[in-house]
Amino acid sequence: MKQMRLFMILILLVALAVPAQAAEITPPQVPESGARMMPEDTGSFSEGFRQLLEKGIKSLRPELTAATRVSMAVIAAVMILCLLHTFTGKVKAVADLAGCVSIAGILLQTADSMIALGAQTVRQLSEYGKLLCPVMTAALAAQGGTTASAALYAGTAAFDTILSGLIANLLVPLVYLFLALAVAAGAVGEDVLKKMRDLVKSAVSWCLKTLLMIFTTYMGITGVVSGATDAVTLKATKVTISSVVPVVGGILSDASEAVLVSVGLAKNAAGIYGILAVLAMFLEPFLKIGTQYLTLRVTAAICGIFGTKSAVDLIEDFSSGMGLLLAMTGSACLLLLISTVCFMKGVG
Amino acid sequence: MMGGLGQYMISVAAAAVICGVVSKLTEGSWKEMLRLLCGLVLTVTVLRPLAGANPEEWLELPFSYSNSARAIAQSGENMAREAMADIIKSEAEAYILDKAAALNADITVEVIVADEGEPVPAAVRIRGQASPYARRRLESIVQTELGIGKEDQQWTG
Repeated sequence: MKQMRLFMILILLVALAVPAQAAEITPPQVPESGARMMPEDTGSFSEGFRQLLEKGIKSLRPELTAATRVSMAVIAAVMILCLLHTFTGKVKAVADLAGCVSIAGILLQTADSMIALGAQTVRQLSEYGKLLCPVMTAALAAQGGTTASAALYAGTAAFDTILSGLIANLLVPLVYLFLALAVAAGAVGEDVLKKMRDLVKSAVSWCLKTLLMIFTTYMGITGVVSGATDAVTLKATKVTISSVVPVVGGILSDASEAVLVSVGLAKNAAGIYGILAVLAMFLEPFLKIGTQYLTLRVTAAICGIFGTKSAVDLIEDFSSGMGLLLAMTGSACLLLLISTVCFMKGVG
Repeated sequence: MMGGLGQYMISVAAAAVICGVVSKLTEGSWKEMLRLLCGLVLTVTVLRPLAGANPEEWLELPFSYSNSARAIAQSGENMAREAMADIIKSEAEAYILDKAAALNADITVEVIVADEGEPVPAAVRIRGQASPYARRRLESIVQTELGIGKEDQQWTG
């Protein structure tokens, strides 16, 4: 009997190595845009994340230099505007108009490239998500989470499509509209334009917040409900397996356990790689846009000391525009991270 | 739908810009009258599409991923089943070979796993030399302990 047990343990140990080859759970390769930031160590999340942050911080210098250059140009324009304001007397409105146009001229070029970068990042994240999700779905289903995996995939795919479509077709044009309204409000100084500008800003942030809230709620409820169903099914299957012909029942049970363990390991490895790949794709654009956002905030604060209200408001509006872009790229990234973590959580 | 929303926002913003510029440029007694007119134009621009909105169109949103989700989950299940079948095949073969060795039978074994349902051993092909006693014992062990009936046991050699 002892020999028999030893023999079965040996066979189980050999068997554990088999499904690792059989189960092909390979995450999609990180795209070119994220390859530069991708950490060397993708086996451990904490180590990979540390390397990712290191690379991010190292890549910050050129962004800071470019942002400072823009900031200096804006401060110079606001100073000239301030001088014009002091010496022009009756034609202050013209000076305001000229000032706003010149500040917008300096900031629009950077804003345009940042908006294009944000939109491209969202598109790339969405495309990567479309490759990663099926891998994680298949892995979770292989682990016994058939109901949960299908529900999580359906939710992620639907919300990802809605979010990327919403950002590309509505929110990005709305950011342009927001900036246009901000320039018009700064130049003309009419309340109605300021209110419209605020309406556009609220609409963009409300869309993103609501979509993410519904998504996280859906994923949370689906994870718990379907996960519990799968756990019960898995338990019932195990009971059925053990009650089959004695030796076959034992072999089936061991094989099932071996597959669950190896698929679980492969799924976690794929999940960690996927998360790091998503972060690697997200980090560079996030740092670029984030640097612009913070620099514009600082510029607005400095200009607040000597600049006109309309000029300072305009700089703050451009900074808010960058904030909206950060929220968009952040939402796309968060959606993928949440879904990957839900897939990694497993059954039960 | 999103294109329509974008158009709506652009028309509202355009109306706001025109109204803003017009009320800024006018002076004197006409100012109040123009402001009123601008307010009216803006109200119509904002409210008209909202009143004619058809929420049923929103059902066209992509919520039809269930089929592809089920197909992907099924592929995952198949992957796990294949991995299990490989393990079960090799374990069952090793089990029979172990029993054969104890009975001094020199054989090679190929276990065939069921295609549907649980991946249990369904048939076996045994080749090699075994005494009549060893063969009978092995037949019995394969039937009782692995659940493969004698009709599914194929002996050659």
